[in-house]
Amino acid sequence: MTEVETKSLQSSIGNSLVVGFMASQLFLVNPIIPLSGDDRGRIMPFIDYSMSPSTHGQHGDLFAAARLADFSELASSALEMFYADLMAKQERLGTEFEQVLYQNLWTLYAR
Amino acid sequence: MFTVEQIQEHLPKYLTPKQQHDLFEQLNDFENRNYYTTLYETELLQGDGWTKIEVINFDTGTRDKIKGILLSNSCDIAPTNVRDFPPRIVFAPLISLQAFDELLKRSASLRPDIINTKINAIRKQRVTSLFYLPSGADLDGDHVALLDDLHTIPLQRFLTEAERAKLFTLGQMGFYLFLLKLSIHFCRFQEGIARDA
Repeated sequence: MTEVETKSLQSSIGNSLVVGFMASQLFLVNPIIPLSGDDRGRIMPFIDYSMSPSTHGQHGDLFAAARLADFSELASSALEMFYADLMAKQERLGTEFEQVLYQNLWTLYAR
Repeated sequence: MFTVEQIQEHLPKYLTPKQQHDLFEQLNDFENRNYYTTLYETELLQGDGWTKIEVINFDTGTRDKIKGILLSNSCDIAPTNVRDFPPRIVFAPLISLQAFDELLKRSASLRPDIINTKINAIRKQRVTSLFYLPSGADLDGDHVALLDDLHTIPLQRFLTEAERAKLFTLGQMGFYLFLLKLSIHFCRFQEGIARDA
C-alpha cells in the first residue's frame, strides 16, 4: 500500500498539502516557454495527440513533456512553503456570511 | 512510503529557474500583483472569466446568463478537441464583492469590524470556498468565484452564445493561485472517514 508521509500538518488539510501540490503540478504539463523578462503570460495547453493514447491531453507518462529544466530544490521548497502557509490560514466563510450569501444568491450573481 | 522529497523528484520541470524565481516572487506578494494576462484574448482556458454563461436555478427552473470562471481543464474544453461524448464546461459563478459587502452591512447580526475582517480574509485568499478576483482586465470591480456553487453548461451551448465575452485570462501567478485554491477546497486525501471494513 502506498502511503504519503507528511509532517506537522493538521487534520485533512494536512495530507492535502502533498496531494494538492502534486495536483497543481499535474494540471500544468506544458512545454517549456522562453525567457521573456516580465512576461506575465501563461503557457498554452499542450495537446499532443500522439502522446495521448486514451484521453485527449492526458499523457501515458504524466511528466513526459515536462522534463526540460530542473525544478530546483529551492523553488520546490518555496512553492511548498507558500502552499502550506496558504492552507494553514484557510478559514470558513462563516455561518452568518453564508446565510446572507445563500439568501441572496440568485440576485448576487454578476450579470 | 513516499516522502515529500521523493514526490518533488517527480514534479514537472517545465519552468526555467528564472521563471520559477519570478513565479514564487509573485506568489509571495500576490496581494499586490496582477492576476491577469493580456494574452489569449479569445482562447478558452481553465481559469478564464466569461460573460453570458447560462445558469439554471435548481429551485425555480429559472434560467439566466451570468459571469463565471471556468474550472474545466483547458484541453477538455478545447473546441478543436473532437469528442464522441459532448463536453460540458464546469464553471463557478462570480459575484461582486462590493454587492456582497453591502448586503452584509444590512445584516443586524454582523458588526462592521467583523465584516471588514472577513472581506480582508477573502482578498487574501483565506476563505476556502471562495476565489478572490481583483478588478482588472475587463472585470469591473472586485469579484469572488463561488467554489461551493458549481454548474455545468454544454460546451456547444457556450460556444454558440453570440454575446459571450472574455472578462479575463489568469496569468501564471493567478493560475497557480487558482489551482492551489481548487486543490485546497476539493482534494483532501485524509478526510477522516474509514471507508473499508
